[in-house]
Amino acid sequence: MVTAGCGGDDHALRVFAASSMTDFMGEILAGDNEGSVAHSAELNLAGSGTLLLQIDEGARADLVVLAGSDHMKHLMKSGDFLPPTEFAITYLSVIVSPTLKGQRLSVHDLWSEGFQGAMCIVSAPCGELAMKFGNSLSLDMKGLSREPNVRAVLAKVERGDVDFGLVYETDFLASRAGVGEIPGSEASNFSTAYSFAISKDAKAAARVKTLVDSITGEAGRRTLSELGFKQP
Amino acid sequence: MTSRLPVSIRVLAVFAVSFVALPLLSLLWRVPWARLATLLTRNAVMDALLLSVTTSVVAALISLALGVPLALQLSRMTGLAVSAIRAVVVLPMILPPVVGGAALLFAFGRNGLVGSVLADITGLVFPYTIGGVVLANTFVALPFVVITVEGALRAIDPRYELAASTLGANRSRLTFKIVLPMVRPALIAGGFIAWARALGEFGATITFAGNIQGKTQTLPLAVFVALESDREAALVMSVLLVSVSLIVLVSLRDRWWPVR
Repeated sequence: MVTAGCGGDDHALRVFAASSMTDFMGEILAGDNEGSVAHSAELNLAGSGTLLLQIDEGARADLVVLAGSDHMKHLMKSGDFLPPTEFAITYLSVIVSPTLKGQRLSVHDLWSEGFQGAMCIVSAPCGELAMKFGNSLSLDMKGLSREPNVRAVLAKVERGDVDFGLVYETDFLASRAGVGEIPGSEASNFSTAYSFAISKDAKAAARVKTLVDSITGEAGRRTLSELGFKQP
Repeated sequence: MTSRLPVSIRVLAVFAVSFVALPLLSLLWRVPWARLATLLTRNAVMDALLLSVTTSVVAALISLALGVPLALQLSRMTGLAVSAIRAVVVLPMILPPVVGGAALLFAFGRNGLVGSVLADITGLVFPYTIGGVVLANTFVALPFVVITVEGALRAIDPRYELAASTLGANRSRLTFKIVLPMVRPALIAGGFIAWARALGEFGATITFAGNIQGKTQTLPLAVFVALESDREAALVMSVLLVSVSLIVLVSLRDRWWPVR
């Protein structure tokens, strides 16, 4: 196995990505036919807030993929990254557990009939978005469980541990566990943009560029639309 | 008088202490001491503190109520059975807490093995309730009571019991008046260690009981949330947790680990 083939840049490519990008990043790395990047890439998946905390405390990343423009602005303050590129948009969605699917519930039913809900912690972009949505409809968000990231919310709704959850449209589409979506909830008026930023530290620049090209290129765009993301 | 150890051993020992102490000191170094009081009285912090204290105390009491009978039973058993039971009971001590939380969900969750039946019959639901927090806390705290008390029970000289029963003490008198008073230090130590463990519980709680402010958001969960949104509050709560644990451990001293 040759890992240090190209001279000095033998450290693995470190990619930090928001957990709602789990499937997309997986596809991008798997679709890299040469295998040169994927084999040496370390993918660190967590909520965008957690990723920022790790970077604030000194974690080094070659490529950072975040949800939410506020989080990206925060990352830019460090001065260690090149200006970001927006590449995808997703919308908020209110989903219900498999048992409640098909009961034609409205958002107000969910809040008035004592169902248990879950959302992301507000420091995560999905939680921030859910909060904006709740405030716009004057919903009481206090009783909702705050999960560390959007995938944790989805998992709890899928298993029926909670009755409903606020996730991204794309996570709902990614679910194969028979969860239902509340239609016409106005949640789709709330969107989050995804952007990536490349480290100024140019050691792994060539390989980061390969990866970024596959995100913004034809294959990347196709994968994004298959997963339900929109283009900015 | 004890002889002096080789330098290499002493260097490693100093290294071991620093390894554990340094992260804790770094925590103290970052704490905004001037704003301590204001940060501590925030709503989210007070809610979490109150919930944590209540649930951990209840969990410690339940752990004692269930753990002491089990310890008594185990201390009278020999052979493979006792090893097997002990292994199962102690497992939550070393199990990754998030696995414990998942296991609790599969057992007591709404669609869980016991949870679904329980909900049908009694309407009792554990996840996302304060009861769920107590359950998760007890799950991780119980082993500490069992281990501590069983160890002490096994160390009792059997002749005391023999003498008491020759003098006509019945079984319950024997247990409550002779055996348990002799292991009083272990009961106290086990209770406090269980309480400290319950107070710090994170993984099983967030997985099983969720994270709802004022309802299931205990101090460790509030630290986790605040770490990303309000780092100063997170630090203050962390220090609170560390101090409580430290006070418990220091005040227990030789009751928990044998020091001559």
